[in-house]
Amino acid sequence: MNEAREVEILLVEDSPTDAELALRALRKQNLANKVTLARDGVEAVTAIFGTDDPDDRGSVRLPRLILLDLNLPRMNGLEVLQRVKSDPRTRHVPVVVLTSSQEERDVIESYELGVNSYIIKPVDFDKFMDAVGGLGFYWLLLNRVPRA
Amino acid sequence: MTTERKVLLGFLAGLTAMFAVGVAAVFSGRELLRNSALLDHTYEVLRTIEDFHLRMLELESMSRGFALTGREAYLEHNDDNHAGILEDLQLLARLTLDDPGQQKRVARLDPLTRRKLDFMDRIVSSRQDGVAAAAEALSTSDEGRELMVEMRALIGEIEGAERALLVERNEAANRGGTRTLAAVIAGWIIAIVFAGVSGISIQRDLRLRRQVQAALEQANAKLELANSQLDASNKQLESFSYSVSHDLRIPLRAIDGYSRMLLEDYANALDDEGQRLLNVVRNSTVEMGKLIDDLLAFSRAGRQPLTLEHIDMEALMRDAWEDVCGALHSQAPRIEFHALPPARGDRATLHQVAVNLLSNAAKFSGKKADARIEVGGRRDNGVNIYCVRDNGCGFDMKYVGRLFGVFQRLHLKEEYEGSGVGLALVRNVIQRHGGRIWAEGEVGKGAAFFFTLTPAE
Repeated sequence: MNEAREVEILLVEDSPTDAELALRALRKQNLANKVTLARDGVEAVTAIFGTDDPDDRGSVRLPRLILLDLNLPRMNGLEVLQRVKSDPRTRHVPVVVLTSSQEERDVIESYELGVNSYIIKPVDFDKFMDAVGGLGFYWLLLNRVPRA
Repeated sequence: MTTERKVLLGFLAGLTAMFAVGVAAVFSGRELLRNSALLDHTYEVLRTIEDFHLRMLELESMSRGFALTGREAYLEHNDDNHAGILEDLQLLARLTLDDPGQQKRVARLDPLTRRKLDFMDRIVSSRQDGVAAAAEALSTSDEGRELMVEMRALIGEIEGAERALLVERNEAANRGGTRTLAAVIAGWIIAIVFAGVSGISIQRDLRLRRQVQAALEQANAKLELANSQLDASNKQLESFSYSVSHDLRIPLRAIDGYSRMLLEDYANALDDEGQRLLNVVRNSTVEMGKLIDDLLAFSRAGRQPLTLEHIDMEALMRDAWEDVCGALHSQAPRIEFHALPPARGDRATLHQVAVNLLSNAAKFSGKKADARIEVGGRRDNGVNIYCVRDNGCGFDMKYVGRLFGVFQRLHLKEEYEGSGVGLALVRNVIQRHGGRIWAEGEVGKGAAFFFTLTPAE
């Protein structure tokens, strides 16, 4: 990681197979060369804030999109989401929860924390490709966010 | 009887007993006073008769003394005694007014006394006339002695009668005292018994109350424990289904995804058979994905709290039918909705019930050319009975018991797809609503599913 704007997509995913499938889908949209992978919540928070200490106010690196799994080792996805959405410097970054969890309470809690989109990973390969590729395309190429 | 009533009754009984004791004491006190007045009266009679007797004796001996000696000193008290005797006589007459027996005796005493007094006057005056006359008077003293004997006997009688009266009145006073004492003691005993009985009874009530309270507290504690255990097992179930929903899909997606990647990237290296085999792998993952979904839906329907509200069952069934038609691969069968009575239930889970029953009906009648589904309902004996009937392949009533079990299927998967969870979920939801569910079927003719719900108010 060099400079803030070089991190285009932060993919937070603990499963290597899901990560590979997601990368494949993004590659099909020509987005895979701009992806940083974080394998748990701590790595994700460190990638954004430079540290996992919530009180450390250093410089932040802003990805243009965060793809966030919920069930993660060490620090779970909802906590990462809460950190990102409660910090004025990072709260404009679109966060898409990309998870296997169909639990209603996860959906509700994510939206309460300010998630931009909630996608349940389809088991079916084609649908998975469509979903991940589509949301990369939408959030990076179609959607506009305020430029920090 | 409540404890409060017992307290009141015990108090009243004690008060009544005390009051009775008081009344008895007053009455017997008055009797005692009367008795003691009577005793005084008797003593006065005795005293008077004694005084009478003494004066008479003194008068006689003084009169005789004077007659013998002529000394005036003997006459010193004679007038006194004379008057006293007459007074005593009057007093006796008055005192014995209440006693006819004594009255008679006193009446007899009166002339005797007067004669005796006369006799003694005569003796005295004879001496004043001269010694010889006195001697003569004394010689007739036999008359005086006889009088005296008679009087003494009479006095003895009067005294005796009065003493007998005294004994009698003493006894009466004693009896009255004993009665009073008995009444007071009885009153005390009654009051103490009442107090004791009501005290014991109240004590028993309080003990019973404490026992009941303790039992209640114990039951509450047990219930709380059971509740917390239930809570814990519910949480466990929740986290179990959470990880099923989450973790079980990851390898499944990998199997499907990597098979697909193999097919895409190495299509040339695989012949037709190789590609077919990989497609079987992929189809199996899809199937397993559906199984997981159904199982999760089943577990969710069982855990989700019910929010009871007025449900327009006809609208709910029609909505569900739209959902079912949207998911059908084949043409939808004809369906007929009859008027359905509204029910009281949870909208979300009842919607799932309707979807499952209608999609089953559509699925099992879908292969028939004239497939027909009928949805009906009526109110019967205070409950609503609903029915979803189809003219599909039906089932053998022999296996009706397995119809509602989880993962129980009555048909081959190749014929009709499905995980065997749908009817288990339906039964679960209906039972949680306090309703019943049952089915009738005949092979080749069709099936009918009935369920009951509480009518809406």
